[in-house]
Order: sequence, then C-alpha cells, then structure tokens
Amino acid sequence: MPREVWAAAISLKGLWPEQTIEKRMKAVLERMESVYALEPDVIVLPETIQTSWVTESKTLDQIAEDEHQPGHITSILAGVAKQHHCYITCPIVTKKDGQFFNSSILLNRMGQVDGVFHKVRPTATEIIPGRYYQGGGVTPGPLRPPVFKTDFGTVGMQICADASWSENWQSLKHDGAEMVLFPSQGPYSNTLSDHAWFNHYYIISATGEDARIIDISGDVLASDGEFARWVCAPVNLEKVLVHIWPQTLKFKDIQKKYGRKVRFHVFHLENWATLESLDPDIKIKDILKEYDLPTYDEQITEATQIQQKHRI
Amino acid sequence: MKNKTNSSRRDFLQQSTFGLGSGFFGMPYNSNGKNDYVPGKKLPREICVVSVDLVGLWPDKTTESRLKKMFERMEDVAGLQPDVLCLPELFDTMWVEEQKKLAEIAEDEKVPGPVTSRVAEFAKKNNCYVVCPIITKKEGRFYNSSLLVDRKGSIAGVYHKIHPVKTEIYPDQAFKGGGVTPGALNQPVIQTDFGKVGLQICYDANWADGWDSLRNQGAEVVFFSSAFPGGRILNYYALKNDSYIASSTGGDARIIDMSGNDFDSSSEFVRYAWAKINLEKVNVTTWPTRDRLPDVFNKYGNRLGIKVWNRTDVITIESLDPELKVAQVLKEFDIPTYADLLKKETSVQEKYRPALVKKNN
Repeated sequence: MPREVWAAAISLKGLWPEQTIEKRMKAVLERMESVYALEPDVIVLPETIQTSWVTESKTLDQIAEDEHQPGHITSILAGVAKQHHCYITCPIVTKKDGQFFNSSILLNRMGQVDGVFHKVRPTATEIIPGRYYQGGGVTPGPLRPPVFKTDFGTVGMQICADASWSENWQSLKHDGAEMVLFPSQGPYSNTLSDHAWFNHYYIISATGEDARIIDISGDVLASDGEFARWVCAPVNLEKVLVHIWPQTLKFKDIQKKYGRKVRFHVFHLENWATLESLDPDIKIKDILKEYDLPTYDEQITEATQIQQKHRI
Repeated sequence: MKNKTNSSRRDFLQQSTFGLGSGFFGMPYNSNGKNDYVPGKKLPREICVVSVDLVGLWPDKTTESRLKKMFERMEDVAGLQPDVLCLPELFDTMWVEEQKKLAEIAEDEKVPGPVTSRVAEFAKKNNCYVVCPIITKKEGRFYNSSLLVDRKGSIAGVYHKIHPVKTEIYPDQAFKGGGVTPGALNQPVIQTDFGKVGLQICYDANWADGWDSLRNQGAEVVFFSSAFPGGRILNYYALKNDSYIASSTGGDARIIDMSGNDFDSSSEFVRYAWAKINLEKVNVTTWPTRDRLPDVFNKYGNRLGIKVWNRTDVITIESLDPELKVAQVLKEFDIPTYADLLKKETSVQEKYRPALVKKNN
C-alpha cells in the first residue's frame, strides 16, 4: 500500500490492579514485546501508564515528569522507541510551568520527544485539588489540541474523558489529523467509532479494557481479545470517504480502469464509500480529479453553499 | 441480601462492572431489547411507535398504485395500535415512474390535500399521529416536507427538509417545472399529547445543525423519513440528542433507543418496526453513576428499568411505576443526567484551565 502504517496498541486489561509502579512497568514492557516482530510504526499505550490502578500512592509531584528532559518513564520508553525504530505514546503526568497535566508524550523513532498533548477534558475528580491525587490537581489542556507531523502522516492525540466532547476531535480534523492516538482508562466503545467516521480519520485506542484499530468509516479493523491483549495491523492513509450518491455511477468506471489497484468499500446503509489506493504509484487525489469525484467533505461543503443560496 | 427481583447486590455488581456484560433490571425488555407486552398495563409516558419502510413497493408506475400499496401496509400495522406511525420520505411519489410537476403534487400545509386527507382519515380511524412526508406548497414555494397529522386528522405541524440535495433544488432537475426550497435552519419542535417531537428528512442526516436544534428544544422523539436508511448515523444522533429515533426509509425501518442502540428493525419478513417506548427515561454516564446504582436498585427494585449499554457507554434509567418520576430518583441519589454531567464537568474544566492556556486556544 502506498501509505501503509503499522499501528499497534497495548491493552492494560489483566495488568490491574497492581501494587507498584515498578511492577506495572515491567508487565507493560513484557506485553509490548509481543508486537515488535511486526515492526510497528507506532505503539499506543494506555492512559497514565505507570499509575492507573496502581495501589502505591504517590503525589503528582512525585510522578510528574518534565516535558523536554525525559524523566524515568519517558527514558524507558524512549529506549524502546529507539531500539525498535517506532513512535510510542508515553501517557504520563507531566509538569510544566508549575502545573500538572494528564499528558501523552509522542516519542519519535530516535527516542526523542516530538510533542506533548495535554488532556483537554480531565474529570472533575482529577482537577479539583486533593480529590484524586494527594497534594494537587491536574490542569485541563488547551481546547485546541496540537497535531504532530510524523514521517508517516499527521497525528493527533486524545485521552479518556476527552471522548465525551466532540469539539476536541473536530479541532484535530480541522488541523489535518489523519490518525488519532487514544490512551485511555475506559474503552469508549462506539463513541470512538463515531468520532472516527464523523471526522474521517483512523483511531488507535489503548485502554484499561481493550485495544482497537478503528477505520475512517468507524468500523473496527482489529481488536485485542482474551488470547492477545494487544493489537497490531496495517492501515492505509491513502484512503478517503466519499458519498455514494450520485457518485456511485462513476465507481464502476474507476474500478474497470484501475482493477485491483484501488478498493471501494460501500457502506450501503450510510450511503458512504471508502476509496483507497493499493498501488504505490496511484494517488487517490489523482483519481478524484480524473473522475471529478468530490470527497465527502467537499460534497457537503458544495451542497451547503447551494442550500444557503436558495434558502429564503 | 435478596431484593424484590431475586437479584442480589453481588449479582448486580458482577453484571454491571465496567467492561463486563450488561445487566437487565426492572425487566422492561426481553432478550432482544424489546419491551415486554403486558396487556392492559400502560405507563403514563409510554407510547407505541411504528414505522414502515418502502422496500418492495418500488419502483411503481403510478402514485395511485403506490398509495394503495402503502395504505395496505399501514392497515397491516394498525393492529399494533400505534400512537405514531411514521412513513418514508415522499411516500406517494418516491421512485414512481409517473412523472408529475411539483405544482401537481404539492399540497397545502394547513388544509389537507388529496394525499393528506387519506392519511388524516387513517389517523382519525386509528386514533394515532401519522408522519406524512409529501411535497407541500407555501407562499409560492415548494418544500420537501413532513406533515404531522394528529389523532383527529388535523395537521399538527410541518417540517421543511433543511438540506435537500442539489438535484432537488435546481429547477427542472429532479422534478419538471420547478425546484424545492431548503427549509429554515431553526424549525420548531411539535408539541403532541405525549411529548415534544422533531422531524428530519433524508440528506439532513449529513448535517448536525437540524439535530442540534431539535436537541436544544427538547425533542423526545425524532421521526426520520428518508430514501436512504441512515445506518450508524442515526444511532449516533439518538445518543447525542438523548432522544428516540423512529426511521422510515426506502431501505429499512427502525426504532432506535436514546442509548443509541436499535430496539427493532424491519426485515425480509416484516416491512415495519415497532416498539413501546417510555418517555420517562434518561441517559446517565456509566462512570461515576455505576457506583451509586446498587443503592438505587436496592431501594426501588423493579419500579425502575436500569440498563447498562456497554457498546455506547451509557446507562438508561426509566420509571416503570406511574407514581415514580426519574427526576426524583436522580435527585435523591445525586445522579446527573448525561447532559448535566457534561455541563458540570465543562464548568469545572473552564474554571481550572489557566488563562495562558485559554489565550493560546
């Protein structure tokens, strides 16, 4: 595939509750070993990886790491990223300008910090001092979360309760995210699928309950299970969502010309289709141009303009 | 400790633990998620909603032939004693070969025309509301509309499709002789004798604005008449709006719960969907509500229907006792509705989000 990315996610199921941070990290690192043979481009780990459901009680100040100078956990995962030449999300509590954030650090293939995402929507119990952690509270991150340019595409991140608000996810789409990495405690089953189809990007989720790879259509492409608490599979970023009406008449011509080099997946109930290139030499944008085929978003934008023009 | 329904607290905890299987309590549903039928027993805010699809009735040659077949289908479901019956988009002309100008088929929005009169007769005879989707004419303009005909056969309200496709709008493209005008962006919900309802039509599903407007106005049931089925898009809106959706389309008919899960759908063997739905019901979040539910259940037992929907991450709580209001239970146990919880959490986030972070947004 032209823009093939192997995404991996590690579930925390079966690893909690745990007594100490050290034991937790040992167990997580062992579980991560299962995916290395598949040479993932990116590995997503669950929210606050070292402390979620760990009984060893620590203050935020004790566990928070600097966002630029790798601390204990970041250093461990940076070593893994470098060794296996992959991106890794490192979801930990960070400290910046005297404030604590529930964060996800994006480590690149060299083990360097490429960027940091601050959970936009922490729960009230995380925020209000003294309620969740002893000694302090978590500060909510900016409403417009950053996106990050990687060597395979543009990614965004969201954490756990962020899933209950739509604006953060729409902001990522607006800023060009093609894939959203989702470390979480809760699985947010269909909610994530809804964010995926609504925004037409892939979501890779690693949670306390499961791990999933979700297509731009909202379909779950791969998920963990009882026999493997991890998932690793390829996704194709050379893929778009189109509305099938009235474009459906053009599909057969495209398929006739390009044969197995492209793939349509028609979602009959929703009147959508995904179109992807399976040939490194064929770009989707060229096919769309050749057949005057709008993307879903382009069609809706055009329709909105026509409706506004004729609305009284 | 055993409660009234012979389910122990431990059973409850085991079944409702986050991430495990869902639990059924209060027994309002059978294993398929449908309401159990109890003859003669009806809750104060319970209604029967029925929708029929258009499968097998298209293409057709004439409007008259279409109407005949559709009314036969409507008569088939009359025995369910619906409070509301929903019909598909442009059910009289959709995929009918007989070509007519908009001016020939459009009906008045206040005085029932030929098709609306026949629907009104059905509504009156069966003491039900009917969602009647036809082309209407108002002040010289044509609209792709849904009329809500009430139990007396009068027109209770009208909705104009906000987002027609461009081939409906441009003159001479979809219909000979004229074009359809897009409806106003903010159209009112319609008050019925059982609650507030909203209407949406087909392509509207691709825009959130109409659905948001209905949510803000408190629509409890949305009737979706359409050519295309809608699929997961409708499940999404049901959950987002905390409202039931009854869809009647060219491909299927469905009744969708406010939790975002299907209650019923049409199939090869029956071209209708139906459910008795309870409007005395709310969505609450799984967390932290789950921690309070054992106490709620122990006090109210089968006077409440509580269901954990793992797929959509919500819990629905409904009253099965005419004397018990859900709001009363929520207040007693300090359980916010899903929407209220998000409001509260947003407010806390705003308070603690530092000025510097806000400035950088």
